Amino acid sequence: MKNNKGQLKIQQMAFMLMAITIFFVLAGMFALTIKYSDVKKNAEMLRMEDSMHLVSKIANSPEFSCGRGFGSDRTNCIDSDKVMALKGNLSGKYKNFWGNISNIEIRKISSGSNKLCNMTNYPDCDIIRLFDKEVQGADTSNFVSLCRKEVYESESYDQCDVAKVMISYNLL
Amino acid sequence: MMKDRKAQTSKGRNSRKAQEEIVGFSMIIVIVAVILITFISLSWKPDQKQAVESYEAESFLQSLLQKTSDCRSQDSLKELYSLKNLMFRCYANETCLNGENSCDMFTKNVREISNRSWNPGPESPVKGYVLNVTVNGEEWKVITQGNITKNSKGSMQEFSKDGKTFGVGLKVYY
Repeated sequence: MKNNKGQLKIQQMAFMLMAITIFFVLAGMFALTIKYSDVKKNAEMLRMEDSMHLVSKIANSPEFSCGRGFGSDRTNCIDSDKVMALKGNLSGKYKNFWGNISNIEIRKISSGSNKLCNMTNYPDCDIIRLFDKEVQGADTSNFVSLCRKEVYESESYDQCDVAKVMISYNLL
Repeated sequence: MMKDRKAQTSKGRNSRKAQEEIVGFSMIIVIVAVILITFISLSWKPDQKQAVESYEAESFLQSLLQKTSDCRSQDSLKELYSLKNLMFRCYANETCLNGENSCDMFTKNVREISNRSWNPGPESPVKGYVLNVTVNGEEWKVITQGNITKNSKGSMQEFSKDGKTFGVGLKVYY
């Protein structure tokens, strides 16, 4: 009888230990979920900022930006003439200039067609692809002004359109 | 003999009662665990990118106002106005060189670019947009397309011209 009572006590203790363990595991999981949701929010915010900064950084870099030739009040403005010149000169220094960025595409929104730009059809085209390959992998995009110089009655003026810059990069 | 039997029956009852308690206790633990796991799995949603980000709305508005319109000035320069300058001309009730009303041209250009950029519609991720222009805080012009929903992202830009403050706000609904 005493043996049975002892077994029952051991059983009770085992159940109690199990209950306590399960309780702490669940409490830990609950705490981790709350903490992880915060991390996710922060990561999302950082990703957003990164996307915005990356496109802004590219748009405002000397190789792309409109500069003073288009007035000083333009931000996130890309000079399409510069980009076309750069496109024709990529084999040398600029081959690995942008690190893990695999391609940069500038898509004009003003027109409805999807004509790819090259030296023969520019500026009557819509998409400037810096490298002649398809945009692959992860990408980030943002709106920019795409400007170029045009001539009207022997006077030059700024022709600006709304465009979307899409930057694709190789995932690490 | 009788006493022994009574003692045995009472111990048997106690043991059964203890076993029932253990079963009840373990059942409570299982129920609580199931509830907690269900709650955790429901709160664990996969990471989703929103249809519109606020930085996109901000950049779009900035680029839209810098866009060159089809309206040419009537002065000797005959320059093509940016949409921002066209908005000022519209407020001053000026007409373009080709005789078109500057306000009609402003609305047409804004609507055309916004529709192409966001492609609003019931099947599209973007359901609609509202672009409103205020002058000294009072609503002056509103351009809308599509439906207004509960979720939106927006941006606002302010400019000063001839002592007046122009505010251009964009809200994109998804």
